[in-house]
Amino acid sequence: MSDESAEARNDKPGTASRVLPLLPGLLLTLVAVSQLALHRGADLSPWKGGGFGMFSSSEGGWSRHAHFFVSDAAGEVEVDLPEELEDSEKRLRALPTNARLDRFARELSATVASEHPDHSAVRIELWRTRFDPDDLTPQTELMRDHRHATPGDVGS
Amino acid sequence: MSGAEPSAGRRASLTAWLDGQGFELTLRLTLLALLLEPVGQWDVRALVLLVALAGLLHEGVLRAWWSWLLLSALTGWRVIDDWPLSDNHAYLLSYWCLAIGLAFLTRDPPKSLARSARSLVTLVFAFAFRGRQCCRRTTSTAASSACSS
Repeated sequence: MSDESAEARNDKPGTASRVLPLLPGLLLTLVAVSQLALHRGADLSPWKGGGFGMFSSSEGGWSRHAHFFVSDAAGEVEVDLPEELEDSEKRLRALPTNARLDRFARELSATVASEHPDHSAVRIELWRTRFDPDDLTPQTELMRDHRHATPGDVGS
Repeated sequence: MSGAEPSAGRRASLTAWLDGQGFELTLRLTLLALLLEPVGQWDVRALVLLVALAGLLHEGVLRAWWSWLLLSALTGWRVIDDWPLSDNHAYLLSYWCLAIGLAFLTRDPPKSLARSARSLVTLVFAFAFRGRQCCRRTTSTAASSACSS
């Protein structure tokens, strides 16, 4: 009888065997819940951040696009995205926080300074395309309109 | 009747083969995937390739918990380094390597890995479904506010 119960104890999985297999799922849950919070609070792309929205949403990086403008005494003109800022722009579209917008605007301001030496501000427009859930009609909406004054722009 | 018996026999032999070899096959296929589709920048990538190759060639590395936890850390670092641009499969790869590493710390690694795998697959699709509900709601809200404006 005692031999049988000793055998049963040996066969019973230990705490490690019960708990350790759950840890990867727990980590996945923590990351995915954070992703959901960042999606709601900071417009993190559903395709990014480990929330598995890639399998359920059409709002990937491709559905967001940005326009860039510089202002000087003559007015505001749109500028092309400089090649060296392409990677930063991808990150900006994926997670457009104010800090990231400010940082990108500073980088853009420095990059366009040679072409627009007297510019007083840069502006970033970030747009996204969504599809109506019933008839799939595309709708473009402005997500962010961020203006960043350069240090010399005292008027803003 | 006569056709069903060989079919059942084949299924039984396949199940028996998977019971015997499935775990090791899973480990080797994971390493092969890491080898054929290397991840991260070159500093991370070189280490991942080295561990994956060592695991395929050496049984001791293949069945060592530390090699899988190292792969999990390296693939996880890739996600952090690339924030926020990594896709979901990059996260999942890191969780999977973690699951294998932790399975080797238990009494029955194949059974533990099977439990982890089931929970990971369930959670992936549960969160995808949750995202779908969330996406439908926000899209409908955006559509109605666009119509009213």
